[in-house]
Amino acid sequence: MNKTTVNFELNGAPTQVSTYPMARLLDVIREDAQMTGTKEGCGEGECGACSIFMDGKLVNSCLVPALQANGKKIETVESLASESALSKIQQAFFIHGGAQCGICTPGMLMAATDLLKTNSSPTDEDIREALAGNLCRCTGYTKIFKSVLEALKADQ
Amino acid sequence: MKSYLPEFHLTKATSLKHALDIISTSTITPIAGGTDIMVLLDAGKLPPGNFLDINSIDSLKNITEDGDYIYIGALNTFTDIRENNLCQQYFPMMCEAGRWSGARAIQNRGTIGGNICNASPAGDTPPALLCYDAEIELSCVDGTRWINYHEFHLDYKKLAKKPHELLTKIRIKKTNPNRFELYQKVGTRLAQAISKICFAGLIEFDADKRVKKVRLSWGAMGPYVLRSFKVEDFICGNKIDDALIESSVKQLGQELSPIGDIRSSSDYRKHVAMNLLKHFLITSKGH
Repeated sequence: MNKTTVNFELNGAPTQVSTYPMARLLDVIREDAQMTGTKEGCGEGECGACSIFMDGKLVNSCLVPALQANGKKIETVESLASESALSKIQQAFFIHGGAQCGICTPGMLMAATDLLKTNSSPTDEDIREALAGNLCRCTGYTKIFKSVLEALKADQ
Repeated sequence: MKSYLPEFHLTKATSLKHALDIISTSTITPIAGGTDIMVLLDAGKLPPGNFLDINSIDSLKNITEDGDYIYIGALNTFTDIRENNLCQQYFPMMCEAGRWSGARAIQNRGTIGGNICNASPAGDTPPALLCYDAEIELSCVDGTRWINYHEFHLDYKKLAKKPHELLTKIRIKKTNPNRFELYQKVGTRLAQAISKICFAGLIEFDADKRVKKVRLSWGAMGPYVLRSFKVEDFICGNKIDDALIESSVKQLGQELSPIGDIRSSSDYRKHVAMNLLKHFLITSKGH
């Protein structure tokens, strides 16, 4: 099968790529659109490192065929900070040691941002559930959990 | 080794009619949320061929109430189901199953129809569907037919669905709200883990506290999700007491011959299943 044209909005910018319809959205974002904040961990939907928003919903970009992104609004970790400031979640991860090697961090930030979008006063269990699809091999999770808690405090 | 992408043809269906027209004349595999197929693709284990993207068929994304039934479109995601009022009210085990399938990002993409048709013996929603006596709608260009879900799986990954048919809806009858039901998943961790064992149980009593109806369904125990029909028959009509619990558990041990695989041994599965049944029956007594 030949390549096809896929159009989507990437972090606010209209984007057009020529790719195979079954190409992973993860690769389209990183290689065709050269937006490399999104990371690949496992490539099988287990680790959450490639988490992005597609039409506002948190998804694993390694499991989305490119054709299904056509016409969609895609947001990656690069969308979180403004020109001059980190988002509250990013700031909290920065201050409270929520990132170590950094591979899981973009996915963690997206999952945590997703939680705060829909739940302004999450319980500890809500936070754990929201981050349950994101694996980290460095932090032991405590500092990530704490970073989300601190971001919530900063919100109030 | 990764798959060679030019060998994978993907066509987008713009409507249900369009999808049914295409599958009526060609050998093509539907792809919905992609949470199973894309894993195989990346692992180089997906046979190349023709795929049909059905994920934008909006008419298969409704959850509606009509008379005695709730209808669930095949393309509803786990998130749609766990957040839906009708499902929460009438079929809480469906919401539980949705909650423990993968994690948020998977639940936002994986669909109920995909969970059924992928036919993994370890699927999390199918045991709940079996307990609720769900029926599924199969559509083709010539029309639709309904079949009982417990007749859908014929063998490992073999379905009572013809190649030119598409699973379009699930319907479940609203039944006695005074039933007791319990959904339990045993895995290495709660989220993301594929079940070692998944159990859904449902029980109804008559005024005399005798069991009027019981459903015991299992995931990851055989070549497909299954019910313990013999144990159900054994329990039905009786009062739950210690002797009945003991003999039911024994009966289950005889009826089940679980698979052993990378996730768990056959012995472990059988032992845990017997404990789950015991717990279910004891807990139901207090209902």
